[in-house]
Amino acid sequence: MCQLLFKYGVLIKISNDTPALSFKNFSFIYGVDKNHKPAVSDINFDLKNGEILILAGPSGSGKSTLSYAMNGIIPWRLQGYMKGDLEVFGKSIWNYNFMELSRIVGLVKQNPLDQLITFRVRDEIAFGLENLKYPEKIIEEKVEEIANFMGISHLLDREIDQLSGGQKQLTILCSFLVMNPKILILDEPIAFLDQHSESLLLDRLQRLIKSPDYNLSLIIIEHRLSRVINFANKILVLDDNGTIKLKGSISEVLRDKFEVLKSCNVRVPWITDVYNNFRKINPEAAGKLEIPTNFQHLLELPNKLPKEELNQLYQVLIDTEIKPKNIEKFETYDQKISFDDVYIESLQKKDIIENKVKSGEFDLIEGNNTILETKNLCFEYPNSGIKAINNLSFKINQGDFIGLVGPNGSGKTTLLYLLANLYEPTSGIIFYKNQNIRDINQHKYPRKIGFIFQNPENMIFKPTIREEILYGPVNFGISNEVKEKYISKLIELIGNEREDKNPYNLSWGQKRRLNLSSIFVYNPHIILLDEPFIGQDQKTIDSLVETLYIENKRGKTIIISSHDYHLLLKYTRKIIELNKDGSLNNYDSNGNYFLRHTNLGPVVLLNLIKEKLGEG
Amino acid sequence: MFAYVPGNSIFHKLNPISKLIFLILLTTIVLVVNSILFLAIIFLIVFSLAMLSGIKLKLLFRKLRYIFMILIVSVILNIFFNAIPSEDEVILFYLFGQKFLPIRRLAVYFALKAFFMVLILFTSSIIYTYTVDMRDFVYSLMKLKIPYRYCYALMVGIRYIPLIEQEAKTISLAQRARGFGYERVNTIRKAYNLVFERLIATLITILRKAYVTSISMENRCFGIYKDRTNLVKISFKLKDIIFIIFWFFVFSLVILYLLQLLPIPQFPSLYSIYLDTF
Repeated sequence: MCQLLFKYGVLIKISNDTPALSFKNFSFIYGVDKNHKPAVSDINFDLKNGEILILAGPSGSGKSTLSYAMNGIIPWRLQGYMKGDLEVFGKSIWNYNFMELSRIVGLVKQNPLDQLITFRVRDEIAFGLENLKYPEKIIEEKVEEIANFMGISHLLDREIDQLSGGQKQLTILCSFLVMNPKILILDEPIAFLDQHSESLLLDRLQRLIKSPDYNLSLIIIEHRLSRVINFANKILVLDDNGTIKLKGSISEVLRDKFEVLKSCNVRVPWITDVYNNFRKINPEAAGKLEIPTNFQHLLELPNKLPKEELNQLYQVLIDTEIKPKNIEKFETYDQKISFDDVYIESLQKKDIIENKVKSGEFDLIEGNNTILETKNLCFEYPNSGIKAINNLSFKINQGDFIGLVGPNGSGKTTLLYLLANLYEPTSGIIFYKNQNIRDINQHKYPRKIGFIFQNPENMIFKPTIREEILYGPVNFGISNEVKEKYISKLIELIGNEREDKNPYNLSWGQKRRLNLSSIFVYNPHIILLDEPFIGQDQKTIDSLVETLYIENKRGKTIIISSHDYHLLLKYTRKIIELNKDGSLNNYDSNGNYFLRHTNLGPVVLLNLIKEKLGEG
Repeated sequence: MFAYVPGNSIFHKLNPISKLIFLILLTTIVLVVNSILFLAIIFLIVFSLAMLSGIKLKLLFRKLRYIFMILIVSVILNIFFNAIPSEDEVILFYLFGQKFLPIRRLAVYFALKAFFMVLILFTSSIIYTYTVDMRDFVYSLMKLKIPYRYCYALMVGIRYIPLIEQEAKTISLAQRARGFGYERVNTIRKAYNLVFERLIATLITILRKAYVTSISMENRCFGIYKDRTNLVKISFKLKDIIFIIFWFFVFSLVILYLLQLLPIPQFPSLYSIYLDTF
């Protein structure tokens, strides 16, 4: 058998000393213009065989470029200028051909739907080997073997459309593993998955890493370090210019360079963050502990500390995690530009703002004016017979900041569409300020609602930034009322851009801010956001949340749907949880909700410490 | 209207290629036959084949209802307006008075012929899509030695249909969320905006997706050799061969008959019946 595998190149003998990857002064410029800004420049690093690397950095920092370089898309499929060299197993990439390189290096991208080609799981996994013209018998054996190993053998004859997101991503992972790559790149593999699917995939990844049979080097591109930091050895962080900002082994970086890591626009593991803040207060006690990175460490943490220090840790935990993290930053909103202020300013009624700030009228946080109310709301997609939304009744007050959670397919997006009057409910009523929204003038209700879609490009329609911002007002017939000053402020918020620039040429974060500008231009009262955090870096998330925070302080109602519990814990004030069948599971204040959901890390630690303190 | 439904009928068990050949032969027959009587008989045969492949009568009518509506309108319009006026043409009657809106005999003939042709073509296509898994269809194209790159292009295309639908829907909702599309589209400018904004936004998202798909395929060594192993086997069974031979036989009979090479008296075409009787 082994001989057969060697014959078909399934097994390649590699000595353990040569690094799997070695970037030497690597730079790459896209396109034909040599003077263009390089996507990545001066990359120098080695990855040993069998090591697991986390590659992080803000969007547009060249992470994907590096991954393309590793598996041969650069230089064989993309046009550009390459400087320096990249060696794969001691051989320059120029000495490989495209086929050899893409066999050695596999690349799994973030959205499983974009990568699936065939209709059944078995065909999908076999796809690569079929292309390599392996004999059928060997393909069948290998497909069975890998499916058994990754625990999806029961899915082999299923249609791909019937799988969950996590199972789809696992199928793609298998379809690369079956070709026996030496290096596997996972480009944000969990970005599109809900909690359940995410833990399924991470569990199987861990199984893969621990197994001695698959001697793989793994490169994981991810913003949320906490998800992957447990099984990685090395970390490489790029900055906006595509140069290396930080590299080293995980333990070293966590111990000595944590502040640098935090400043790199990546989402650091919260527990290490807590530990680090604790170390600042009490270096002595913290020095005795090992640096915690995972759940197991977390459970041990309270046992190792005496009571006084535990009290300190408790306080640190509350400050860093449970309280909205950036609340102090946001408290200074008076100096920050608010869309609302600019709007009123543009009407040249500056005194109105000052009076409002003085009288505290903006702080409508705990206001009791119901702005939206649903009664027995049901929704069924035509011809499906399945209720996407099932008998929902709740009230939303003006100034609420609400997180909408639930597993994939529980109807979060549908509910937002219903609230925005984009779908018509099958039964039940939605009230806006005690008025049925179906009775409100069709032009007036959309003006009250600002809807931010998951993909920023889904809401860009016009060829220039200016026209794009004015898209709403023109449709509502209020473009004459929008003052020139306001528009220029809105354009400023996107960044230093010309107003006739094509919106598609903006960066991802800028597109997101353009989306905000183009809804704030008509001053909506309610802002609905559908999964705005997917695949965004810390900087984009921060600026988005900051904007929302300021607007919320000004009395705007905000509803965010997301499966990122961690962000919701920090930023929202209330949580609506939906069941799988679209019914209401829970509607409570943020604090109560998370205290009851004891499987979330910070809450677990909080409860543990409380218990421990109680015992003492 | 066209969706595959798994089943166990004889038609389901046949090879997609043999069914495709049947479809092509049938279409050719329908296009060359002149007699409405003949077309009606073919329609009955196709109709019974539909029953044989497990399509319920109600479902078939539901699938065909829009076609029926369009056909009825087209038959009426055809009868009123479509006929090549000539001197020896027979006018059946006038709809109004003695001189207004003549109903020509030829027009009735053409209208009925078009009606049956469209009906047969749609019913047979429904049978085909009802019984053929698109996956099998693509693999059988490969079996026919069509270069696998084109077959996979088709496969990815089929996979993309729901994705494109989803994106287009989201984008139209995004337009509505910002106040577009509530009014009636009553100017060319608005129609232009409606279509082009939506089209361009959808196209850009789909192109981005297609880029990822192509990278994913290339990474799995797609297109390296001129041929590839195919795990999925689409086999020709005895019943496929019998099926194909049978339909070729029927086809050649019809052609021979139409060329008047068979020693059977000619079926009077309905047109000729018209000419003789009226």
